Amino acid sequence: MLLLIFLALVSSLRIPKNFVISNIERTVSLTDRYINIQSKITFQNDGVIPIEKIYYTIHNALSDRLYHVNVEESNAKKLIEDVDVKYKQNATVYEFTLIRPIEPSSKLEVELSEHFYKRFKPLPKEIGLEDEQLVQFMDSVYFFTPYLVKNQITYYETPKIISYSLKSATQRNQLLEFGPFQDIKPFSTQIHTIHLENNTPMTIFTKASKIIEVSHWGNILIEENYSIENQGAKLKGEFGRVNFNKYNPNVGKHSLKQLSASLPYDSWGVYYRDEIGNISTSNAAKGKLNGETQALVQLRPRFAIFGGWNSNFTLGYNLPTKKYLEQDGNNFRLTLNFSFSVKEMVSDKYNFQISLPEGAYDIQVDLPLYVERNDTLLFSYFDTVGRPTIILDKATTSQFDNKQIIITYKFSGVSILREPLMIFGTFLFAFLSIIYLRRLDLQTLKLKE
Amino acid sequence: MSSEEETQQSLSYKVHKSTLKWAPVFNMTILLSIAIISCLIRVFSVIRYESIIHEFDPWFNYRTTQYLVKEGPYALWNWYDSESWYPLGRSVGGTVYPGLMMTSGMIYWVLHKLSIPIDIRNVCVFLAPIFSAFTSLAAYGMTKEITKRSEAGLLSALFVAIVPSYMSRSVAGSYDNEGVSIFALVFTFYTFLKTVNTGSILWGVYTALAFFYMVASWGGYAFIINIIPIFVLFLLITGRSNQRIQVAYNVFYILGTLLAMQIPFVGFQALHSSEHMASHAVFLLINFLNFFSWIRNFVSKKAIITLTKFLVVFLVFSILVGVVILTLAGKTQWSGRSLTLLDPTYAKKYIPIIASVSEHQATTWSSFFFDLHYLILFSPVGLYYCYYKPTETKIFGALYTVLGVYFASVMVRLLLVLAPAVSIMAGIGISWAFRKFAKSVRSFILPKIEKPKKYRIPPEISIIGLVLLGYYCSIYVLHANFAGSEAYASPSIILSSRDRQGNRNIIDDYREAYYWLRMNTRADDKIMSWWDYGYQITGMSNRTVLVDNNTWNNTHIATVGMAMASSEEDAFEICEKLDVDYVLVIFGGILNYSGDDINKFLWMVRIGGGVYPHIKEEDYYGKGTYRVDQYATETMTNSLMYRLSYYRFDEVQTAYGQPKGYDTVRQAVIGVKGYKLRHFEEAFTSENWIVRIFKRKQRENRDGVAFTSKQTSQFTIPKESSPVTKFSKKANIKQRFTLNFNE
Repeated sequence: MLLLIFLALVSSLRIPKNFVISNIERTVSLTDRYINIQSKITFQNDGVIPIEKIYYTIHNALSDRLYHVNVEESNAKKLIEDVDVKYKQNATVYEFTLIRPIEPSSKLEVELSEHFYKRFKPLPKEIGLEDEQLVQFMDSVYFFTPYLVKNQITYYETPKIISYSLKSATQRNQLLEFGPFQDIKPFSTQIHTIHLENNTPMTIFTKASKIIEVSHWGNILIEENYSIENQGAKLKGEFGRVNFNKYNPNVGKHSLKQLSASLPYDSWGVYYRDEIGNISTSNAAKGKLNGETQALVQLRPRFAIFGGWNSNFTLGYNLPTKKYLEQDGNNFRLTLNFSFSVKEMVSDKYNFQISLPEGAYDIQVDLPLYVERNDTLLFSYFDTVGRPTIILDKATTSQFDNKQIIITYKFSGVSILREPLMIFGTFLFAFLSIIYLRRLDLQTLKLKE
Repeated sequence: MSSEEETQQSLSYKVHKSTLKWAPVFNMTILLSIAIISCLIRVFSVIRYESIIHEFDPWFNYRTTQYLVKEGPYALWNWYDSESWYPLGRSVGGTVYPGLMMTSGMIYWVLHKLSIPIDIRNVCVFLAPIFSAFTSLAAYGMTKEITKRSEAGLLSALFVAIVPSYMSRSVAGSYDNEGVSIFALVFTFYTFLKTVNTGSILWGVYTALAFFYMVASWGGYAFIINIIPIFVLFLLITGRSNQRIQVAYNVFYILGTLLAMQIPFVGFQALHSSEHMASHAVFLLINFLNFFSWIRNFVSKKAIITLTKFLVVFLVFSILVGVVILTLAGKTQWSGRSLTLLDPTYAKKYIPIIASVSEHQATTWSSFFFDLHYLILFSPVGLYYCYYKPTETKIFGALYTVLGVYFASVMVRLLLVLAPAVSIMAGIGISWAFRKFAKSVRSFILPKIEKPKKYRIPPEISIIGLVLLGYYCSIYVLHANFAGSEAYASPSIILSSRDRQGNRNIIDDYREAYYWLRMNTRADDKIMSWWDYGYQITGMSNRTVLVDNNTWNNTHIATVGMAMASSEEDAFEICEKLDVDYVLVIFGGILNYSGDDINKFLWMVRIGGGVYPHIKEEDYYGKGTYRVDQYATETMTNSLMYRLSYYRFDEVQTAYGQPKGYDTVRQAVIGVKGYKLRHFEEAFTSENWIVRIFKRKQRENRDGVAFTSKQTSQFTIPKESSPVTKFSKKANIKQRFTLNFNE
């Protein structure tokens, strides 16, 4: 019986024999600090049953560097366990449910996008201030998939190619073309490397967190903390301020000089600081970007972050509750973005913490992401029983995880007055006792004048 | 008298009556507003810049406070700070006045208990403004004890609240001992005068407690422990001593000394240091005299006179001899700073490290005027009033002012001690003048109440006088406002400039470099810099420094001075011995920032030369003056400081119409160009070059060993090099190889 259940659980990856990838065209973009792979996949169903679930496999050597994967034509993504793939192929499986199943003897072209980080290996490991940053990219020649691939062609877009290991590849300017390859068996891999020039700073957040405090007096306080690291080629030799300055933009191209963050349009009181105070190099403007109104903040770190260097900073802002908190009697519904607001960055670890007002109960969190949840209490200004706090932890996090998190809870209207009344009472008591004590005659011995 | 006039008269009488009735309320309201103003005027720095700790010493206090709230008070007593004075370290618990840290720690804990989770940085930043409010209240009390008049008290409170001298040390962010101890000083005086006026032992105990707080906060407590005995001695000599004085002094002395000994940094110094000698002597004297006057009841008058003469001479003589013997025997000692007070040229001659600090310089007239402004003009009036009809408390006020003036003239820093005195005197003086003028005006308006006297100032002149005084006071207020909002608001680690469009630019080089150190060096790296930046580096970069602003070890500072003044090769040897990983220099040649290390360099030479005589100041003078251009001496241009500061400076254009390598501070083109560093490499330079950090390179392989067969056979690897285990294998092979080769 137990075995049956076990089997039922694990053998979810069922691939019909006559279901193949008839054509795949992969475009690997190596121009940025993160790697973006867009694949056009044509599935061919020669079987008799319609297929509505397709599987994406990723080798475990890369699975923790994959920060986002999506199939355009799907409406559900699920991480599934498959013993076979897990142990034989050492891979992880994602299951995508297609919006429109692939009917027998028909084709469907889907678009798969994969986003990786930390896949560039700086080579040489150390470079000088004025040198170009060269990195090595390692990939499989064949698309790693449980399906049979009839035809594959891969393009690598690079800023500048130094060398590549696959001799059969053709180079056109800064574009490498691999293939076409025919009839590739499932899970075929063949490692190849490309050595290229990529001067974008290889920065990641080693840690990021977002701390939110909701007040029913009208304010939502949001503070985001970041630890940033440049994992690119380390700086060799002297720093050289003579060369590296604002008049020489081509020196030290591989250092991170600026980040940008987009905040909600109605955010106010933005601050940007670190452990020793304000970082005075930032700008903020409200405007329209990609059709969305938002506040754009440009953040310059205290110092340009070269390879091997670290830094950290805090970005904080306030939001009015009226737009994000809906009320229905005693029921409240809070809608906020889950991810951090610095753009085009990926964080290794992410911690999301939200404190609801003291006295909130019946809290429900609705989040379309896989996260670890812990609840605790936060003691802030004038708290007696503590604010209910939800802590969500997620590994690799990026802008793609910026889903809306919806928190519903109950909160009675009287609770809002508790703290003001407490302060009022304290002062009243203090004044009354002073009045009383002033009138108290504590003299034991009456001295004659 | 017509009826109209009568109603007018009765109206003014009514106003007068209700004013009198409401006077206490006015009094309290004004006092409260003064307290609030004194807080607010000090917050300009936070508004203009940010909530940040200022200057140098406050960074240590802040770091200690952070340690205190994190680890608790007992841990603070035992804290041995390994991040400073490498490799010596510093026992913080025993070498610190903990009053300031304890105060903010207390505030922090109380607020946290009341579930107000305020950040410790904000407690530290706003502590001084809050205490300045207390100071103005204490000044009110003190003036009231001196004159028994509220209006003088109010004026004094206002003057103290906004006196620029005090403001310079107590703006928000200026988290220094003076911030709380000026309050402690004034409050101690207030309680002492209260004791003098009442003869109450309870108030005497309060005085001792206030004094205890002062001792815990600042080394300037020596001022109190000297001025009170001088005051008592003065009363004794002028024959104004009485029972109340005796009670006040005895309670203060006994309890105060005992309490002072509880502070580890003071300890038994309270008994044997020279600063306390006067208090011991006066204690003996006053009690002896009291005893003597008690004896007098039993002895004949003639005998008493001879006895008095004899005893007084004997006593004074024996005390003098005692002090001299103790001093000569080394049992009691004057600290360098105290000696400088007695002999202003002392430090210049013997202790350059004290003389090098700008706040230990003699005060210039301009800083007197800038820091005290019109109070200097007003205070003699108060002083005159105090001598005109002297009482004990008035004498105290006058004595405090006179002594304060002396000390303030010797050291700029002690203007701070003078500031409350001058404010109080000015308050007394102006209120006295006001009162005289007001009386004559009142006798004109309300002749029934204020009977006109014969020699009273005519009301017309009185009105002019009132207007003039009001005008001067308002000028003073405006000046104080300027000082608070502009002159003393700068945190000094953040600079600001204005461009042609009038936009304010923040120059944040210090924090840029300090944060770079914090984030991108190993946790145990040692940073060598001139001692001025020690506290800031440990505070902001959290890294170990060799010397810091505590300056307790002259030799160690001299060693750093020697390293900076030596040639690169020699400096490398010194740095290697001291485990220095990075050298940090401040350089203002690009931005015309004159407080940089090249300008401080002569002090490094002097202090270094004081311990290591091979460093000679003359060697650094080219053509008789201190210069960096082509006429600079070779010793100067070879020195590490010169080499590091001007490294690759000749490649940049700094000023329009000047050749490359033009130093905007020294206004000269540097003398040596195009040199390379051999043992150091530029690790970081801030955007405007203000902070330059150099990394000490590792010794090269076989560095310094000449490869000749004879020498090689004699050469043995010294024991010091054995810790390099990483390369020991290679070294062994090489060693063996060379040996074989020689055979």
